[in-house]
Amino acid sequence: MSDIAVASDHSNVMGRSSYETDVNLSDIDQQAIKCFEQAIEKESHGKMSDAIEFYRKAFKYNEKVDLLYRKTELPSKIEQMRQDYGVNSTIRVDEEVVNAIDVEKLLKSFEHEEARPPDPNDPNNDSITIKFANLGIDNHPNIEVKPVSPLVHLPNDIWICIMELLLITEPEAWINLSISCKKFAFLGLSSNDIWRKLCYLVYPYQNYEENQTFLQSNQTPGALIDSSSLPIPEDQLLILPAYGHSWKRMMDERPFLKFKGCYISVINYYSEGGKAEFSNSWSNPVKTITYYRYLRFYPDGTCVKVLSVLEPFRVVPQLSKYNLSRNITSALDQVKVAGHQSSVKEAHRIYHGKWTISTTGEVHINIDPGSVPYYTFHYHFQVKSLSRAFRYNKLNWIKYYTVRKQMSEDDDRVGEVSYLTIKNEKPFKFSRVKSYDVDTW
Amino acid sequence: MSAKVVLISSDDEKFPVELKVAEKSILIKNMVLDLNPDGLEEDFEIPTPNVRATVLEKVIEWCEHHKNTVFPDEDDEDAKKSAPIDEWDKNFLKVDQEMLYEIISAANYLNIRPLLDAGCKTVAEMIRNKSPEELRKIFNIVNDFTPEEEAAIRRENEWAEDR
Repeated sequence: MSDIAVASDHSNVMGRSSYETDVNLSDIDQQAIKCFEQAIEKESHGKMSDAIEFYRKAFKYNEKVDLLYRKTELPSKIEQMRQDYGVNSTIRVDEEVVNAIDVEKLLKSFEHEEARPPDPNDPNNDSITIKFANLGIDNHPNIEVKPVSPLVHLPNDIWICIMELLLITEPEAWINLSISCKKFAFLGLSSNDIWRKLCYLVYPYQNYEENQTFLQSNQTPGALIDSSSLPIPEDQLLILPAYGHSWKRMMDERPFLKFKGCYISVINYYSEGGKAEFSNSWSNPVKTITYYRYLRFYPDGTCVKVLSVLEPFRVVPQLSKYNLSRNITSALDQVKVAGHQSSVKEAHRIYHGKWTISTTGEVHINIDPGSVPYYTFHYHFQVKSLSRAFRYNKLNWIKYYTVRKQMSEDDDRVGEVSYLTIKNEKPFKFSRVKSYDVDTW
Repeated sequence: MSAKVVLISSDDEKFPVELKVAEKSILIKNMVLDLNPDGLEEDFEIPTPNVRATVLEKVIEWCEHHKNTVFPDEDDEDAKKSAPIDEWDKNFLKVDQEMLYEIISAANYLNIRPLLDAGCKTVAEMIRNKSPEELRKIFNIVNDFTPEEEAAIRRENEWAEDR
């Protein structure tokens, strides 16, 4: 679901393409395709000048590389999609029909659906019919239908148990099973138990601003505050009525921060360079500069922040509050460190902070210590959805400011607030990172 | 020799087992307690009409292996669910889908919670890291959605896998 491929092994992303196996392509065409794919990769990261360079190279190798790519690479990519998600994934659907579907009702209507095995006699079942057609026994009435796995017939409550197991340990598997057929869609997505479980996996770990304020204003020493008297109680049952007693609706309508991944903001800007001496060029060269902001939140109310020019595949695996070096090391740095003690580059530092979220989804991050010793840094973001299909995966900037810390006894500037510009900032987008499953909790 | 519990499979095979072993099944434990309030004095027969001999044998093998295992209480559900499957159980459940189905069904019927959990985890293990199409192959099922239904269900639910 993540839109940025945060593969820990970056080479895999590039290496999977099929140009190596395609025997019909000449060496030059293979080079062209390779450059074209690298260009696509760069473009998807917003690295336009790098992308242009690769596109140029690709077209130099073969001026029709775009058509070549479409002819040789797309079919295998479409086939891969078919193999992973089935025949429906490659059919263009009618958006209006899709939008008109009441999914909740649809799922409920699957209650009595039985899973069916592939029927070799069914002419729509292309994969198997083709095999039989080749054998010349197409339309043979007595081809035996192999029944579905006996496991499919386990009682519903056991399947819901299995769905819950998947939901806790590998949420992708829960969704993948739930969209394999109608029966599993009903069991995995329509059961209240599943959504209740999910609510309990999400909301008790949100650190609510309202609760913090309440706790700070009610500090009676030694007195224990009953968690049910908090403005936002931990017991989700007390909140459920506000969502019409529907756990699914709670998930749909109540913003939250995600922990099994990180939020990345990609910032591109242009910088005008100078002309070379004696250059006849009419225009100045323009350079695109790309840098990234990274945020990762933890359920205990802490978070880490990195600002770096390094790409996600370098930063993401090291983005952890348990990273004791408190640095993102790039391959280049490591070489340097081996030679002599190099000082830590400011740009790669991992800053630690604290976060809260309000019921309306406003996130407040407080970084201390930050890059300037006499300031604490404050960020305010709004949790947003990129679209209906990508909910609560975006952080929009609200404001960014520093507060001056007390540096001496008679510091009269303590508490001074200075706002910083967010004009050039871009929203953060969430990317799922599988390796984070381990040290999130 | 102390008195035994004699389990009778659906195909009429008799399995005499120690009370301590049979008690792994809460159903049997309660039955023995209810009908023998003063303790077992002679062999006590219990028919298990849903369980075939080959399956019953497997289930008894599991109970035998775990007769001294103390299983943790149910209070920490999530921790129990995310805990990895016991190594011995993992090997014990390396069986075909038909047998796995019968063992899980028997554990469910006989109320042997830890065996049921291990069975569910084994099925979950089969599902992990698979694409929907691979899952359809594993369970031999067809995609019975229309393209529009599938798109709508994905759009409405897929986002919830990120948290």
